[in-house]
Amino acid sequence: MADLGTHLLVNRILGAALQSRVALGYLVAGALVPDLGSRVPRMVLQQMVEWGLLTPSQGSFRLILGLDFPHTPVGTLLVSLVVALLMPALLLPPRGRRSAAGLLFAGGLLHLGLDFCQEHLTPGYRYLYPLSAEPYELAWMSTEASLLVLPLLAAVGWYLERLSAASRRAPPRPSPRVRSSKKPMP
Amino acid sequence: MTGPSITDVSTVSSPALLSSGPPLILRFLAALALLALVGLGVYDLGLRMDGQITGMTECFTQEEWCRGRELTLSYLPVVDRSETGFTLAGPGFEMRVVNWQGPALPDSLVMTAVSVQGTYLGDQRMSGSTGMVHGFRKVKRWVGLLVLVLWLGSTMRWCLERYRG
Repeated sequence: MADLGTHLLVNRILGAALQSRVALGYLVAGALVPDLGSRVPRMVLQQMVEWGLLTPSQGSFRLILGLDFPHTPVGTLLVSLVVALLMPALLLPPRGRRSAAGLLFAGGLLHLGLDFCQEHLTPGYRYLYPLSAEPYELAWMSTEASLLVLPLLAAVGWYLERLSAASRRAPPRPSPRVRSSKKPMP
Repeated sequence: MTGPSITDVSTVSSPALLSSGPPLILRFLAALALLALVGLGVYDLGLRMDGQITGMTECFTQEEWCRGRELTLSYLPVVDRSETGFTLAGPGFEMRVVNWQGPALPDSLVMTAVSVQGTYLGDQRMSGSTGMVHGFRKVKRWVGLLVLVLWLGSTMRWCLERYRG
């Protein structure tokens, strides 16, 4: 898995064309959906088993394994829809919940796409679920490659933030006056 | 001088679930239904992956069940090595890797982590039929933690600004 910083920055950079800051925020937040939905609950449950808070059994281990589901495109979509449905109206992007769900899902897909390019000891992500439970990956780059690129991504992200802040501070351009084709009344 | 134009008002036949307008209870029920689907997916995927080892927890609690099964340990530091193998340190356990078939370990293990796949032999020993050697151990986690804290802080600040208007 690429590091969290890389995921967030990639989404921030690829979302530079979005005019709404709120919409951009949702795209960036979407980078967290796959991991927050799968890895974090898995870590919590595994720790609970180690601490004796959860009985180690076939059922609990199946649950831990099955929590890979939110780290699939279908799982990411469902989690994005849940978040969009429960979000307070005040925090929604300009076009509403549908846009929020779409942006979160798009951000999640970018996350999955980045992970798909990485090489792990054994492929662990099941992108075709529920059609198939076979894991796949392209193995184009090592998991450490993201750390090497991180300073460059941070610099580009910082530059884009500066551009965005400058454009928000700049006074709005006056709309050009439309010349009427009609002759003025005498 | 022209008068004001009549603006067409589009009628909303019924509130869609994904618009801003539906009542909270309806959205809550829809979210519950979607969470049920997520639960179904988790259950089904867990069934399909049944038998795989999730981590060392099974090997501590069900040693006999784990013996002979394929085990994958990811990104663990090396705490000891000898001619016969090396020892990985995980949370609450150590695993002795023997018959290592992976790439050679570097001279310095300070920033090194190892992922290994092999067969669990019992008594916290496993064969290392394949593996990878990683650098930048722990850097990724600290970077991730820092970024998460920064992101949470900026998100909370933005939410507060929105609510204060």
